[in-house]
Amino acid sequence: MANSFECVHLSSITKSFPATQAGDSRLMILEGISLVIKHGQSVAIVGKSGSGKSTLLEIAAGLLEADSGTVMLDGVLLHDLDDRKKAIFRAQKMGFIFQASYMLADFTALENVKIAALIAGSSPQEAHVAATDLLHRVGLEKRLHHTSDKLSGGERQRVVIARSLVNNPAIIFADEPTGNLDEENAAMIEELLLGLVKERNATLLLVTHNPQFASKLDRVLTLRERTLVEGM
Amino acid sequence: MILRLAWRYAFSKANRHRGVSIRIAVGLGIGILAILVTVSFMQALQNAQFDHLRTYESFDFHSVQRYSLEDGRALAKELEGLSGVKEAFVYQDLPVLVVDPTGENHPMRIRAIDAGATLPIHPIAGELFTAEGVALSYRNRFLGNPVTITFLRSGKQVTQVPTQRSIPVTGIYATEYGPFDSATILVTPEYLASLIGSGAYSIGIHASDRSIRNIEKQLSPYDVISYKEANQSLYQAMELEQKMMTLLLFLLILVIIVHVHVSSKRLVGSKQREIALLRTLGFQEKKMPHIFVLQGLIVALIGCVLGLALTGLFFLLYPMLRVYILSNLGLDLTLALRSGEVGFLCVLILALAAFGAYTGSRRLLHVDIMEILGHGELL
Repeated sequence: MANSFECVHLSSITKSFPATQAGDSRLMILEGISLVIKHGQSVAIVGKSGSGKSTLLEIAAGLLEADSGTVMLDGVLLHDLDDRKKAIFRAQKMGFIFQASYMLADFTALENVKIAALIAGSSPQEAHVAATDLLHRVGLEKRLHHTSDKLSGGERQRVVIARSLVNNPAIIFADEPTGNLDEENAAMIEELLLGLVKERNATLLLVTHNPQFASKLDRVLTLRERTLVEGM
Repeated sequence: MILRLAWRYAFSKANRHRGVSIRIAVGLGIGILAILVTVSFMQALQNAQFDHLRTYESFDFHSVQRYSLEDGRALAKELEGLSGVKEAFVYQDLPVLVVDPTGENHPMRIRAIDAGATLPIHPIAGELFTAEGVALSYRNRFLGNPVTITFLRSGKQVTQVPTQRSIPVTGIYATEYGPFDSATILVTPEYLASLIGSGAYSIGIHASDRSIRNIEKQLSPYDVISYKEANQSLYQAMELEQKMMTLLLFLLILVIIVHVHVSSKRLVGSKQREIALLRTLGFQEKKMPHIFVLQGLIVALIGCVLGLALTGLFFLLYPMLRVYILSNLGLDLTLALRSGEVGFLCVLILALAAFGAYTGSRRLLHVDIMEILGHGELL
């Protein structure tokens, strides 16, 4: 049973994938994982490559179906939502940051952020104001009308951060947000992301390889042997 | 927002795949041009063949029985009084050999016909129907003046005797039917009679199909033959040609259909990462195909407009080509298009573009977001 302080509630999540070779049994990735994250808390999941960190994040974000178990976000069971309600929930309550800093490549930085606000139901004017404000906050005031091919990796990731925050989501899912960046840019993105998340009192579930980055979050969990354990 | 996204994904300058949209639209435009030009030439060729046969060769109807010049003229006059008959006249086609200035023989025919018959024969030089000579077409000017003609005429010892005569050329003519021009020397019945005797004449009739009953009453049912009956083997060959052309046209349309379908899917495929991202942003999956259907329709519509514009340009420039076709093939082809066929083709293309985009985007909606983001082309 979820209470009002819980933002993320994973219960007995199990996930396996088909075996890559004929004759092998299914490859078990996650086994009976449960996790509760409070509102406004930032949580890092660390673990070896291939341990299933990203899979767990995708299941928690509703991007991937678990074999069994339930996912409850902000008091709502994702499984109970139809496609339409799930889309509305995603637009209004969730923000995504991927390692590859995916932008809508045919759109400018400003349009990328605006679109997220428009999809969530903001008026064009509100969307414009919110997008411009956030892009200023992430230091891209001179890059508003640049498309992704004219932005550096760090700048693209800042656009993605702005886009993930524009609707003041309850929870942000970030998969290796600094994984593709150099040290300097990575440090800047870390500061920016954590600062904005705190400022907006959003919940952050983050997957990273970087123990230093993980240690800056409220809680660190390690995915080991298909289960989650507290600490590094 | 859907319209804006669709336009951005179709032809907007900011679109990375604008070149793909342009290539697809141009491909469509050229395909439509090819189909419409083929259809119009096909129809023009068919119409021209029969029109020319009806006008110059076997007329709408002609008599099987031969008459003397006087009897034939009297009968033609009676036929012209019948309802539905526009014109009746006597004519005689006589095979001849014509010797050119180098001494080479050319098999041709002399057509003796009354000057009053209103065949579309255009005088180019001199007088065509006179009592002093023959008229050659502009294609046969090389035969010289006078022209040396070998006739076969009735003899006393044998049935036919070749007789060679040198005959002055009084006029040069042209028609819209090259084969007629190349093969025919025109002469008045009286002048032919002065060369080899009167001979036997048929009656040519230009009349509506419905007047056949009246004509049969006048000439007897066994004495009248329509242009279709007279050219039955050609008619069958043309029917076969029409079927083959229809098959060719069908194949052309099939190529266009495949092009439209594959292209629409390709357009969607080039935006699959955007589809996945829009899904993570909460764009409703039910509305996602609307963007790409609209995008496919925009590209197809521009392709159709381009195709129609290219076809219009071709029709505008056709008079130049028409002269070339007339001088080289001896055919005066009048191109025409039926708006129904053009409309059907465009609607078919638009429908297929929409269908291709719809199925392509629907298919991507069934793929996991992370699978799309993590992999390359899935469509």
